[in-house]
Amino acid sequence: MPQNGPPPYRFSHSAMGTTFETIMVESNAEYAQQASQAVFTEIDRLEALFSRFDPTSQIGIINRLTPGQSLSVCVDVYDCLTTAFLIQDQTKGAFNINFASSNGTFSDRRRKLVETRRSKHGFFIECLNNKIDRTVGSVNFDLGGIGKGFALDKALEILDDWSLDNALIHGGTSTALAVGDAPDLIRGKKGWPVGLGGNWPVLKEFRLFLKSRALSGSGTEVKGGHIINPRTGQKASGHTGAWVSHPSAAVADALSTAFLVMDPPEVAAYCEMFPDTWALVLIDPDHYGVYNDYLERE
Amino acid sequence: MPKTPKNNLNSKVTRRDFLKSTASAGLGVALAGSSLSKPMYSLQEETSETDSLNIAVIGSGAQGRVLIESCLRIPGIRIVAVCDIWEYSQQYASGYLKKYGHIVNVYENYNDLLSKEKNLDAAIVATPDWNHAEHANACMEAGLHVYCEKEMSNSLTKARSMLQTAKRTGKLLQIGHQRRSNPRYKHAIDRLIHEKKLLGRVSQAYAQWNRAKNEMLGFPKKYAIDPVRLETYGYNSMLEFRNWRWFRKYGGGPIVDLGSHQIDLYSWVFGVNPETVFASGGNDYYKNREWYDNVLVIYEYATSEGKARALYQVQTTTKHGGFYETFMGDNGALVISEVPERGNWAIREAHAPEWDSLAKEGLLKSEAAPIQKIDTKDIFLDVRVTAETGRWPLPVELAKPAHQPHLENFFKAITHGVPLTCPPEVGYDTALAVLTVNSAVESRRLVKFRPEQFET
Repeated sequence: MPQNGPPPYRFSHSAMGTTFETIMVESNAEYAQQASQAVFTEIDRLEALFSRFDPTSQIGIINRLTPGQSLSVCVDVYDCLTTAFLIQDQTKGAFNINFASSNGTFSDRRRKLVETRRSKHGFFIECLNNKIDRTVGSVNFDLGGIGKGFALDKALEILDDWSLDNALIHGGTSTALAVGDAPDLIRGKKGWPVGLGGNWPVLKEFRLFLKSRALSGSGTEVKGGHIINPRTGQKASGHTGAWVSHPSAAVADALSTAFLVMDPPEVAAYCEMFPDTWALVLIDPDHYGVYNDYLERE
Repeated sequence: MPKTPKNNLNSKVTRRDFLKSTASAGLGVALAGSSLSKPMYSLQEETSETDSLNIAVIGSGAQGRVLIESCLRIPGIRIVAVCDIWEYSQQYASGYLKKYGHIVNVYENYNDLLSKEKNLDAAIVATPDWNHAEHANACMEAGLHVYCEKEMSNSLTKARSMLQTAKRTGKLLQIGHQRRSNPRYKHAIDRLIHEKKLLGRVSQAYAQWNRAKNEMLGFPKKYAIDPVRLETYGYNSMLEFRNWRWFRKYGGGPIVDLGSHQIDLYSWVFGVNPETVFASGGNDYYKNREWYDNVLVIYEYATSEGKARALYQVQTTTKHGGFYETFMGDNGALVISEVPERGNWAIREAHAPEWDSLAKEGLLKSEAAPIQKIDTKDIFLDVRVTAETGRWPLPVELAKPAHQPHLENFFKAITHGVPLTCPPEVGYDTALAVLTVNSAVESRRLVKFRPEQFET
């Protein structure tokens, strides 16, 4: 049953160490609840595959592969890892699901630790034989920077099955994915209005309208605090915050993490090369830059 | 800062499109083409398919998908046909299999499947419980070996018909109590409890499966089954079809859906079937469901070492404690769960014979720190604020989906003649023990089993 008031109905669920929420434009409360239940079941299924805290999850097993071993994985693990490695490559290691190796060493982005491979027999992750070069690090995947976005992408497929064309879903508010329009459209705008969270006056009035896109935020309200630059293994000297919008929530999730430690010219170059990527980088509490500034906003 | 719009706002680029476009731009990571060394976990080796089997899956709902996922990791298994009365499940299963290169024929009616598919070796039956006998019997009559999900049936008469069909046709019938093939459970029960007598005389068992409250399942409106067609297949409504486990016509309720897996272990551990069962339960929380939403059960067993009792609890309105099983003897206890974090260890009684030799053999691990001799301080002992009661973790790991070993056992029984770990006799006895709980709840009396009721 709906957790509050009249439509749009909102339902929440704990998974992946955070709270997922669905917000749906649907007149039938029971139907909205059942669809949300189906969405949350899908997210739970993915969490069981992705959790690095569960030694029996597929990521848990991958993290214990030794050089030369390989594992047959399900297509979702393959897809998520392939996306992660692609973004790692595109961002020159600013995004890295393995930046803290299990042996405590910093993982060298120039060396691949695993290979993803598909064949007629399925999908495989092979732990490469990096032999005695221990500076390369060892496999210790943490999908915390992409898993929630990936789950939202999959959740969108469920919403499509349920013919719910107007909805906003998010994972812990740090990544949101919107389809269709919010109810009571604001002054003719299309999509779902979302703000940029945080106590920064410069962004207080910032409002984006998401439609068939995701928005993900990363950062810290204390500049440089607790953010490690995967390229160096050192504390990041980057920005205060970064928000990325992309049609894929997984991509937005990963890029927002990467852009937090990339220099503005690098972010600009990336966005120029990949025009589906919209980005806002909060350089310091008073200054920000917007890249591919085409999203409707006010 | 650059602010120039660069793309069409109406474009909908999915994650998959993103991967394709960036890969074509030469920025994608290389996909491996090199040969692999032999996988340690060998979830699926890319080697010989000399023992390949053609499989049909009848029932591709939630449980069917779990079994399909496991089959995809077993070398030589080819799923060639899928049957389900619901288009949504048909599409999901065939679409998912297509990603793996399995192009399957899709059927709504199992009779059509059996008449048209002539190269099948076996069938997996994962339909609602009330259909198991009809589907499994038809498959065996058609010459197929059958892996059938538990519970064997929601009717003992139907369950017995499956047993009789298997005997008459000579076809293999594996019942889906998958813990019977799980190497962690086999190590715990066969090796440690039975062979090594780790726990001494085992006189008590406890198990529970607690789940958080949940609403009834719905369905996407565009996939609603026409009421006439639904009735043809025996369902009164989409609500009952989607939530068949809660209705007496189709299923047995939580004690069957959840409890059966764990109650099955009691007979395995004690080596005998139960003598009696007493149970209390009720439809106390959900008003729109027929079966009991909570049940407490006590079984009695006459083991070769004396009387033993087992307590069981299933709750569907609180998930406190989750699901696990505990076996208790005079020398220790063993806690195990299909999810290792919830149970994967033994606890030794202080007076028990030492377990260190078992740890040296690799049959147990030890978390217990040995009591330290104090050489550096002029004392006999550091008195601690809490006593250290170290656990002894089990050393066996299952790096596969939980149902995979049970399916592997079934397929190896076909190809290599290995014994089934859960043949229909075992499945029937468990069905008898579990379905009787519902009778006990209803009668509110102690129910005595007669030995001749059981098959083993």
